[in-house]
Amino acid sequence: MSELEELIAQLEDGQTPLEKSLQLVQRGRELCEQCEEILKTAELTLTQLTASAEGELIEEPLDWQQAADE
Amino acid sequence: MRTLFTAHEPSAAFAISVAELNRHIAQVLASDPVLEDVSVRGEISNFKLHGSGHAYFSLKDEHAQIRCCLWRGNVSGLKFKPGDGNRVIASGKIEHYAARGETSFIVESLHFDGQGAQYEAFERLKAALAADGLFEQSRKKPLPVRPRRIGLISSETGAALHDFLSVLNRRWPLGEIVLVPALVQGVNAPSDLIRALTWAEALEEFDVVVVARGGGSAEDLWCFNDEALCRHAADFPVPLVSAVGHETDFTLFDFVADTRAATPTAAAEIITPDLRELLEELADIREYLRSSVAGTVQKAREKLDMLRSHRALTQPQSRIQEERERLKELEKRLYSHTKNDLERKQQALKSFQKQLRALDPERVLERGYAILLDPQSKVLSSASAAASHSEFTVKMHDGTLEVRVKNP
Repeated sequence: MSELEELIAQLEDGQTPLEKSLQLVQRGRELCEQCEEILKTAELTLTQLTASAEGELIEEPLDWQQAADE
Repeated sequence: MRTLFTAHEPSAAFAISVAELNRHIAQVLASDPVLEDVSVRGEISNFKLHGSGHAYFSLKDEHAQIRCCLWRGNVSGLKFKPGDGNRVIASGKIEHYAARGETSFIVESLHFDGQGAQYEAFERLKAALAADGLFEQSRKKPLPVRPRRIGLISSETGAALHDFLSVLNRRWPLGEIVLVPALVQGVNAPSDLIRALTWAEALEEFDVVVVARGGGSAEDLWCFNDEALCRHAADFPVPLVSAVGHETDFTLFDFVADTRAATPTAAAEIITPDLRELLEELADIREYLRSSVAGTVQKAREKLDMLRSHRALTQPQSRIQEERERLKELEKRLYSHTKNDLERKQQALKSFQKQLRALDPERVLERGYAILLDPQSKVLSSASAAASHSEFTVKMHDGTLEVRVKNP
């Protein structure tokens, strides 16, 4: 998203030569697709932090659906 | 004490035992609807927690006091740690303990009286923390725009976790949430919350940490006014969000955190962007990219068309023709100018010649006039000028005569 934002700013400044802006647009389209893919397929992950007997911190996966329903 | 049933004169026959008396008192008290369930405002003194788990104390005000008992079962239900000087509202019933002849207040629940001593302590601590600059805006760390690792310090059970997770799942499923379970109410909550903060700090991976707890009464949330906890939270290295309680309940923890959310739900909304908005934004960007490339190409094409249709390319001879015509025109102008000038001069010359001829004195002589000259050949134009001379030359058109005056 950050790269996309920078890219748009570059396109908008109007100083970019045609060939370069065509490249930027192509890259922008790829980034859009990647971002959409990430956003659409993302799933919330939930872990729980506990400490072992030795005082070491351990992350254990937690079923968030179950946690939310409790 | 005299009643209709007692004799006018005290009599052994009518006397009752102490046990009977106390039993009677107990019965009277027990049958009173007010004393059965009463709430009393007062200050705690002589608070003692016995090994048995029961707690004993006195409830007092300026004029009176009463012994109170808080049975073990009710002690564990307390939401704060009572101490001497606390102003509280105690609810329960009045009982008379016959064996000792004591009337006690059997307290079933004990609530903080917000306007009491503890409230004053709250205000004092608030002022102290403010004086140390812990509430300063300049200390506040900004929230990340798109957080990945989100620490959640909360109770493993309860609505706070549920609300938080459902909002995040809807808005920002990219989040990785790490639950750090902690006590969020009761006497041990402050130290446990500090422990949870220390754990979160030790992981060093969080973009943001939220401390969440559902709403509750003032004493439910009282642990969030703990000085050690607030000072620890103020120095927390990661953006910290306080999501404790409801809109109206402010705790000192809210003031020291970087951001305060009214509820866990609000916290989840504050710390994350909305997935749907991001997708819309992406769609807009796609559209922008499309129109941007189309626009750039269109502009370039128009410029090309304009250049292509330019006369220099379409009719290269026309320029030459144009120049030729221009040259012709200049030639014409040059010629006409020269011609006019010549004629003008010829005319002027003619007119000069005419004038010259008209003025030529010789031509006057042709018509019979003569010019009189003195001996030095100077023209004599008046009689008075001539009077001093006796000899003259007379110039005629075809020659001169020398004349002499006979009779001067």
